[in-house]
Amino acid sequence: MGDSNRLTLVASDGGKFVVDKEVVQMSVLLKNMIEDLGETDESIPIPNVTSPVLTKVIEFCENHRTDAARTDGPNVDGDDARMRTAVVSDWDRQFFDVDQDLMFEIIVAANYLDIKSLVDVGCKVVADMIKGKSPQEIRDLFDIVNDFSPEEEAALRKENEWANDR
Amino acid sequence: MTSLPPELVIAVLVNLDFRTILHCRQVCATWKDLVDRDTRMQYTVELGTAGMEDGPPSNLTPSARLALLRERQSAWRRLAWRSELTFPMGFGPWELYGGVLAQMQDVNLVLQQLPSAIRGIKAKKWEIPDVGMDMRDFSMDPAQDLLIVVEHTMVGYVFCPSPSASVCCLYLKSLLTGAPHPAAVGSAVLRHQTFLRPHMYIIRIAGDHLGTLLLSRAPGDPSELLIWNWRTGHCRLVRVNLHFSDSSFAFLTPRYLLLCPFGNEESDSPDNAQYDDSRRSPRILVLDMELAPHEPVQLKNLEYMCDFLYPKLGPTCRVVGMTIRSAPAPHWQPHPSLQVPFSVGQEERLFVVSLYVAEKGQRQLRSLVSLIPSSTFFTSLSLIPSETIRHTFTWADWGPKGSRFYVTPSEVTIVWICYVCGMSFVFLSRDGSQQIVTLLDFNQRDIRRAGLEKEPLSQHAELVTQATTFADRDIFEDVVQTSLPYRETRMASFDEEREGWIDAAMIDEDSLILVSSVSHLF
Repeated sequence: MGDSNRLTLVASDGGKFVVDKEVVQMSVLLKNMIEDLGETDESIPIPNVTSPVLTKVIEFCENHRTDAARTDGPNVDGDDARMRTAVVSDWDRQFFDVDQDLMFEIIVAANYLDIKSLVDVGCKVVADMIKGKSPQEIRDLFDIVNDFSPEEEAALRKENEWANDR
Repeated sequence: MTSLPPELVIAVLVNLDFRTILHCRQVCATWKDLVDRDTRMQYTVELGTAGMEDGPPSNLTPSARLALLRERQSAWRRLAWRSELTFPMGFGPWELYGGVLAQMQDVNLVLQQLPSAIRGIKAKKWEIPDVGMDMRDFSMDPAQDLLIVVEHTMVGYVFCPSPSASVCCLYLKSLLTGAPHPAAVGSAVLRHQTFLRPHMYIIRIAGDHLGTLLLSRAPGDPSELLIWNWRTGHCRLVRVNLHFSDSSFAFLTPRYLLLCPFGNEESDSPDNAQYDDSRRSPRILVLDMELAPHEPVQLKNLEYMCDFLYPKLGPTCRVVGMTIRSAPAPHWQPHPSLQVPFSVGQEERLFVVSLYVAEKGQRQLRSLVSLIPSSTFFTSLSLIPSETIRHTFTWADWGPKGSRFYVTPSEVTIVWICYVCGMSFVFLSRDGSQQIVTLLDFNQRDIRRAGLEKEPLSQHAELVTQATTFADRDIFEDVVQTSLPYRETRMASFDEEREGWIDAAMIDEDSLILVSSVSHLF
């Protein structure tokens, strides 16, 4: 018989993770799923998330389990207020100090699993990477193809010129 | 990033400042589309244009805030009355700051929160009874619920080593209740012993910093500048004895102080040196409070960071008055309880330096304002290392492109001194029986954007980009040009006979105030 406070999650590649129920419940998706299932020993498959990504997601949830209550607190302005108050800690920054592919996979997984704090922190970390960069630097950073014609590009630059103070 | 679905790309981009958002718009067609369709990002960009900041979370959505912001900008551009209020002004000391008008009536302080329909601020009136019999002046910061009451008494004789010494006391009170301010953990009274007999106190509050300038008209008296940390109380950050009888100061940031030393020098006899160099060479000093001495120091020994020189006045001219003002203080934010959707940005301010110039043989004073956005100072300061001492920026370094001279009617900036707020300066002029209110807005981003987008201007507005030239040499020694662009908006004039005499125009974040026997607001 399994521990009733723990659950087994199965990643898309078959990797198994035994996790505290409390930690799993930070995912709104899984929380609802557990409520629907009731008491069960069955493991829960996570078909869209690979083992390396799930490892990171669980690591984040383990670390943030104590502040889970904070995000459930009163939301004055719904999603928007929460976005503005989410604070990125040093631990969070370290946590996201991984290669870009993994970083984006974590954010996508967090979005799928509906773990709001992880989505918020992830988006803020990515925003910090972009902040202050020029259009070309942003393209280089993320391998984005410039699909504007030179004329369009010049027109856009002119349109935004007013914002450059110096 | 290309692996993220659009809603997550948006979730990333909404965290950015308006400049980077505009850069993202230039990255690729998909991103441009995402930016252009998202209300939150449009709101951020509009705030950036307006030089404003988002307010605390409330039940207002970003799209509601965006609509309100556009409404506000449009009302200011047209100088359109949204609502009008009148209330009497007494003859006692008064103050207008941070949306609150305060007036002494007998020994009571009457306070009024000025309403704003757009920002959802309700009118409120309250009173603090018996502020003090010996009150000489007061100042306030509604954002910090702070009221400063100045008393200057000779009753402290017993404590004073010399009979000519006196004690200047600054009482730190709650603006709502009049009780000692709870955050003043050092002491609710700041005491300063002085040999001056001040006739005037200039008080400015910037966050934790409280600046007081004691001015005395007694011959030979210097002025004293004191900067306290009012929360900790006994920490006296700066103490400068200016060897000038008259001066003015303003906070550029909570760390840097702008100082206009001016007036008769201590050594100066009334006859000689009236047309000497110091009276013909006005300047603004920048003082770094982190490096300033805690012990009293004479200005001539003061290791100020740098000074900004004005062009030299002509040989028959001299400065007889000089003040510097901006409002609200840098890093000022409205009290959170007001729940405003947005407020004036923390860094961008217009500094209004008023120069009063007398010409030999002429009775009439010339009144000139020099309008300087904080970015002009920041740009210059970024060129020198932070520990620099006594660097000089010549007029050519900063003035012609970074400021604008404007000739105003001479009484404009004397009594009704709340003529600047954020990046705007307002004044009243007369043309026969017509009284005209003019607003000069120096928000450079807004001006550039309006120029680029060929925004249709209202009938009474104009974007001024051509230079102002003083070529006739009746003020300056050489030809002086200033060319910083501004937006000038004139309000439909008020006829003196039909609408009554107006003394002056003042400005606050949400209100334009016409002072007469009655006052108007919008």
